[in-house]
Amino acid sequence: MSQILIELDLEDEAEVRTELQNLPNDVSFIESKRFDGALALQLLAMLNTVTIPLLAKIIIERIRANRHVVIKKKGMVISGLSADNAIKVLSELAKND
Amino acid sequence: MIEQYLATSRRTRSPTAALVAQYAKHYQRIIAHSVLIGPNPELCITYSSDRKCELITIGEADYLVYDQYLGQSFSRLNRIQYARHGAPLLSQAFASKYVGERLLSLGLTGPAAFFALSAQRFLQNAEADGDPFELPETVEVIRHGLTASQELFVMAHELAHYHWRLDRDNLSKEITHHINAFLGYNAKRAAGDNDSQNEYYKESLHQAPADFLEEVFADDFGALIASKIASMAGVPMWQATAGAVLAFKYLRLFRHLEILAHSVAALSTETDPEIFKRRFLALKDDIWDGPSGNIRLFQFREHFIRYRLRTAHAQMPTEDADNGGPRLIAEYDEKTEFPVVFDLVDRLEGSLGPEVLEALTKGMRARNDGVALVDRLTGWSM
Repeated sequence: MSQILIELDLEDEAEVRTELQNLPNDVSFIESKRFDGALALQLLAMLNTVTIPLLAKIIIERIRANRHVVIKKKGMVISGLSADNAIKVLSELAKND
Repeated sequence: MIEQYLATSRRTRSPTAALVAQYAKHYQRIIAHSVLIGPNPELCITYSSDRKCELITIGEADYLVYDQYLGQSFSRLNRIQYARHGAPLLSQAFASKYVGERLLSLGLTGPAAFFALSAQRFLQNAEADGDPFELPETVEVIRHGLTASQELFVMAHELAHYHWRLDRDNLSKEITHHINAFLGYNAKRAAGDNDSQNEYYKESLHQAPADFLEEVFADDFGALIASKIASMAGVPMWQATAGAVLAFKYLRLFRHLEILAHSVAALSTETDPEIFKRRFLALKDDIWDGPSGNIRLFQFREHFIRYRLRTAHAQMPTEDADNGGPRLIAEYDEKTEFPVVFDLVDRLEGSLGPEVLEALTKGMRARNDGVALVDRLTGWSM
C-alpha cells in the first residue's frame, strides 16, 4: 500500500484533524521543524479509495488559498501538482509503488 | 511508524551498523550528562540525502532522528579544512553536490544534473594538482576528533529542544542570564572604546523571532555537552571546542545551500535569459542573508557559543598545549564559507541559463533512469 507525506502549515492542524478524524488508521499527524525553522505539520497517509478524495480536498483547498502544501513520496517532492490534477496525481501515486 | 515516516519523507539508504551502535553510545552519554526531566526521546538513526537531524512527535511518542549522512558531510568538510591544496574548489564541489542532491529531491532532475556535473568539474580541477586528501595520520586523527564533537553537538542540540519543551520557563531564565553575562563581558572588554558590537547584538536580539531564545539555549546546551563528552572520550579540548563551533558554522552553510537549492528550483521555470541571469546573480545576497535578513542572529549565536565555550574551557582542567582551534575556525571562512557563499554563483553564472536547464531536463526525461544518472554523478548510489 502506498504512503505519502503531506506537509502543511501548523496553523491548519485543527481544521485538518477535524476533516480526517474518521481515518485514525490511515493518517498520522507528525510535528517537526522545516529547514527554515518554522514548525510544520506533516501527515503520513496511506493512499486508498477512502483517503484519496479527503486528502485531495485538503490539498486543493490549500493550493487555491495559496497556502503551504508539499507532497513527498520516498523522499521525492511531487512536482506539477495543481488544484485541477490533485485527485489524478494521488491516484497515480497510489498505483505507482 | 517512525520507519515509515523516514522512508516517505526522505531519500534513504541503510545506515552503517557499526555507526548506529556508536551513535547509541553518544546518545547515552549525552543523556547521562543531562538533567533528567522526563522520559527522553527515542533515538532513531537514518541515512538520508536530507542530512537532517530532527526532533519529531508522532502521537504520544517523541523521536530524535540522527542522520548519518550529516556526520559524513561534517567529516568531508573537516577533510577540506586540512586539504593539501584547492580547499575553495573542494568546498564549491561539496556545495554543488549538496544542491544537486536537494534539487533531485525536489523532483528537478535537469537542474540537479547541472549541479552534479558542476561538482565533478570543481573536483577534477582541485585534483589536477594531485590528491588534495593525501593527509598524514595525525591529521586523520584530528578529523575524527572534530567529527565526533560535531555529531555530539547536533544530537545534544536536538535533545535541548525537547528539554525546552518540558521546562521552558526555567531554561528561558537560565539562558537569558547567560546572554546578559555575555553582553556584560563584551561591554567590559570594550570599556572606553566604541561598543558597536554590543549595540549590534542588542539590536539583533530586539528583532529576533519568538523562538530565538530556544535556539540559543539549544546551541549552548549542545556545545557545552559535546565539548565535555568528546574531551572525556580522549579528544583534545581544542578539537572538542573547535568541533562544536565548526558544527554550528557547517549547519549555517547547509542553510545557505538550502536557500540556494530552493531559489534555483523557483528560478528553473524562468525562460527569459536576461531575467534568469539577473535573478541568478541576485542569489548571492539571498544566500548570505536570506529573505528574512537574519544573518546577524546567526552571528550572535556563533559568538555566544564561542564565549560560552571559552568560559567553560577556562574552568576545565586541560593539558592541551597545542591550541589550533581559533586558527582552524578562522581559516574555515576563507577555505569554505566565502568561496561558497560569495563566489559559487559567479562561477556558475557563465554556464547556467534557461536553455541549458531546458536541454538537461529534456535529456533527463528522455532517459528512464534520469534520477539514477544524477545519483551516479553525485555519488549517492555508490
